[in-house]
Amino acid sequence: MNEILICRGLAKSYGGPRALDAIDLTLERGRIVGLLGPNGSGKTTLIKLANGLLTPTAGEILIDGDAPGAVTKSKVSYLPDADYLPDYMNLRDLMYMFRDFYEDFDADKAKEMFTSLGLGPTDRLKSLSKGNREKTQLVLTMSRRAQLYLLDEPIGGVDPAARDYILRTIIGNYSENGTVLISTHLIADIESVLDEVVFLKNGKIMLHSNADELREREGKSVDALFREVFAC
Amino acid sequence: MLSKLFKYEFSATGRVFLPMYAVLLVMSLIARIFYSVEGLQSDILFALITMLLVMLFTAVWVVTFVIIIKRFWDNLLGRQGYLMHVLPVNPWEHVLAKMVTSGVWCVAGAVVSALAFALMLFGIPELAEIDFSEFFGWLREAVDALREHNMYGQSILIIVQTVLHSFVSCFEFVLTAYAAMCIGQLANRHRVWASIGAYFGICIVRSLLTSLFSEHRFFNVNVTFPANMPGEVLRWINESLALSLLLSLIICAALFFVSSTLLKKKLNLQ
Repeated sequence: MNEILICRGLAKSYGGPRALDAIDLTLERGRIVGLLGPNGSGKTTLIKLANGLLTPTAGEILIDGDAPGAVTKSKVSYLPDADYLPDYMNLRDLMYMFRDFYEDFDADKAKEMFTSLGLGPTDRLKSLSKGNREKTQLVLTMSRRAQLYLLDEPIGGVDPAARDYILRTIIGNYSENGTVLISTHLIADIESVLDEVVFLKNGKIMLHSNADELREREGKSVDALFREVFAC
Repeated sequence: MLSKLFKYEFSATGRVFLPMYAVLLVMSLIARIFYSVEGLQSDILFALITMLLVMLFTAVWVVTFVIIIKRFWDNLLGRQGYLMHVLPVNPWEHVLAKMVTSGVWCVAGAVVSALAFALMLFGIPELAEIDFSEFFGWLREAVDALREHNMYGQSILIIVQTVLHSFVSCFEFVLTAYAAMCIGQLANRHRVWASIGAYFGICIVRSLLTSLFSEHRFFNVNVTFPANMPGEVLRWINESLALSLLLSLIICAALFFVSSTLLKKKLNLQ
């Protein structure tokens, strides 16, 4: 089976209008996919549904053929768009925790990345800056040999130099058959690495295409097209 | 996976509980020293230390309950839920790990409180002089009397059941809070209020069940107590205790089921 993620008629409502509506989406293995859309378009909702953090209002979402559960969670590496790690822990505690729970976690790789970022194993999360906390989260996420990486706004809160580092980390570390789904509205920064793009608007998929084909067909960059489609 | 969850649960909560127990024990020791030094007892220090201790004893229980509730809320339904719910673990394992850990801290709190109390009491000179052999003699006599009337077994059973009851009530409280929070998180807004409402809702249902049970048990008593009346009464008390223990266990199981099912099927992490 080559599909890693399948959504069929997926919808989610938080009580009001639907945050996601009738999403049909199939992602294959070994791709880097940009999930692009303005704020409030449903990117985070889709990613949370894939992680089982939300339950669908209608439709279904399957990861490697299964609905989100303990089995799919061992295959998915998730970077939330939130400061979610317990801040009393230090980096070593966190690495041990990830190693304990995820068989595919590579502690040596994490150590190496922390060192190159100038972070030590005894650094407590509490004492780190916001940017360094985000990098810590990214390092932990990318140190797994997962089948699907779901990265929610990985470059939103860091400076441009750090963005390059983060993108290099993502490209350099995802496992060969893994698929990376990156949600962002900072398209120019990540356009060069994308194999596929998905445009999300008001909870609906507007477009799902190969990035190169899209550029050829439209005669402009994905960034330029995004600005056109989502012009206010 | 469950053993790993226990490990992280204990280390995360132990950071708060262990220092708190240490403070309580040290304070009791200090009080013991003050109480045992002649001349200090009438001092204002005596009043201050006693007051501080009473506050500490109360604080231990308040903190225990607050931590039990807050830990579940923050760790599973708050920000840290982004970490916990993406671990390859089943929701019921989360509930079980948190429940058992909380139960252990409740028991530990009781043991440490008793220990601290004993430490402090035996510092009082008048108490240290009490001859306990008299008390044990009295206890032996009581046991003999019970044996003679064939009530020893039943009496021990009452004590055992009462202890079991306090354990189970502890878990029942914890599970009621968990279930209430799992119901409360279903709301899109005002989740804390929804949880508090759910808590009282569960308590109302619980007391309805209790009153149904007691009505059946106590107001329809048609047990006749013949000549060996005390023994019969003890047996009847034991039966009632066993039934109400069973009721509590069933309620615990139901609350556990509700909590883990809601986490599995209706999680809405904001």
